[in-house]
Amino acid sequence: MSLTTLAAAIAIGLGVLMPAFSIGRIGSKAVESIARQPEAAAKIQLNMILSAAFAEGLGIFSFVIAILILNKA
Amino acid sequence: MGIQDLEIHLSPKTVFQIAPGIPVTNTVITMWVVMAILIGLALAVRLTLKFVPKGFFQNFVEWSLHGLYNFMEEVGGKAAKKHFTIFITFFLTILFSNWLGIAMGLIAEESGFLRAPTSDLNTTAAFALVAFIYFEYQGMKSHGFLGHLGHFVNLKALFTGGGMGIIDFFVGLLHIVSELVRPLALALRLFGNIFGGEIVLTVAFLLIGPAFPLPFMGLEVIIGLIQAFVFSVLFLTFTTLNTAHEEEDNEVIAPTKEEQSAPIDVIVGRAQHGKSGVPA
Repeated sequence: MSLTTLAAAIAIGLGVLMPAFSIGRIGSKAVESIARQPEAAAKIQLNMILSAAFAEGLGIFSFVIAILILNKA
Repeated sequence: MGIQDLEIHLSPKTVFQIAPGIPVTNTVITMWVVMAILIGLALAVRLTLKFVPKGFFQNFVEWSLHGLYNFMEEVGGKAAKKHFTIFITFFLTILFSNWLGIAMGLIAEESGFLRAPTSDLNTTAAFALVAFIYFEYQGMKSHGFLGHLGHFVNLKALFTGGGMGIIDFFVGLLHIVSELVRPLALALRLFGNIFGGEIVLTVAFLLIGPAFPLPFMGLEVIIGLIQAFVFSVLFLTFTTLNTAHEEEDNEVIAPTKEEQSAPIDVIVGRAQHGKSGVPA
């Protein structure tokens, strides 16, 4: 078990912790807001998708680093 | 073919070389296919264009493009609509590039000739670079060359601000970092999503076998659509932010043509309230 594999595993494991949590919070707030005001559902849904894509992007950055670590060694 | 044969290529495979030193990779070949599809669709709509549309195709194209055109106003305000051509170009190119990567399937990719264009960091970096040049140019066009750079190196605040001025100067320097990270984030977000999707599909094919891993392909279709959408909307947001004017409109209050013959109290009323006082 080389250090490279360990480094890549730790990078991806810790890197998606916070994005996963934040996407869950975004989703729950969006559903709450839609329940409060169903007329604005389309706008809220749009903004939710947008914010979730931003948060997911940060998890993707750590994924890219893990792939780079694996392929460099 | 089991999980032991899995190899992940970060960089695309060179298929042939046009001239020594100019390689043509499998992502470039797929990009040609995407270009052929997009240009073919555009020509098909343009050459059969009718003033009163009949049939599905022209109606569908008009509906989707018009929907996106109106959506731009929600994102960026009224002035955002003039960036429509580059917005829709980014959106359609990235959308078709992402979807073609899934539609080809594993066989075409294993043959070494085709691979999703956006799963290559070169393609996404090229998109991000073009987007960056475009919104820097828009910023310089609306604030002037020195005015745009003055947002970052805020010498005006340094010399005339006092204590807060020094803080504003350092905030401006930090703003440079945030500005430079924008194209990096755009490129890496798109690349990571599509490349990761390819890895997921490859592993799913290897594990589940010849039966199509349909949930994963459905997920990749949705992710492709969302990433194309996010890239375009972020590009539009950055352009709007860069061209935002802090001063309000200086509207000239002068009598319009139909008001020139209106009674004097109507014209005075318009100058006072700022809107047309001509009775309907």
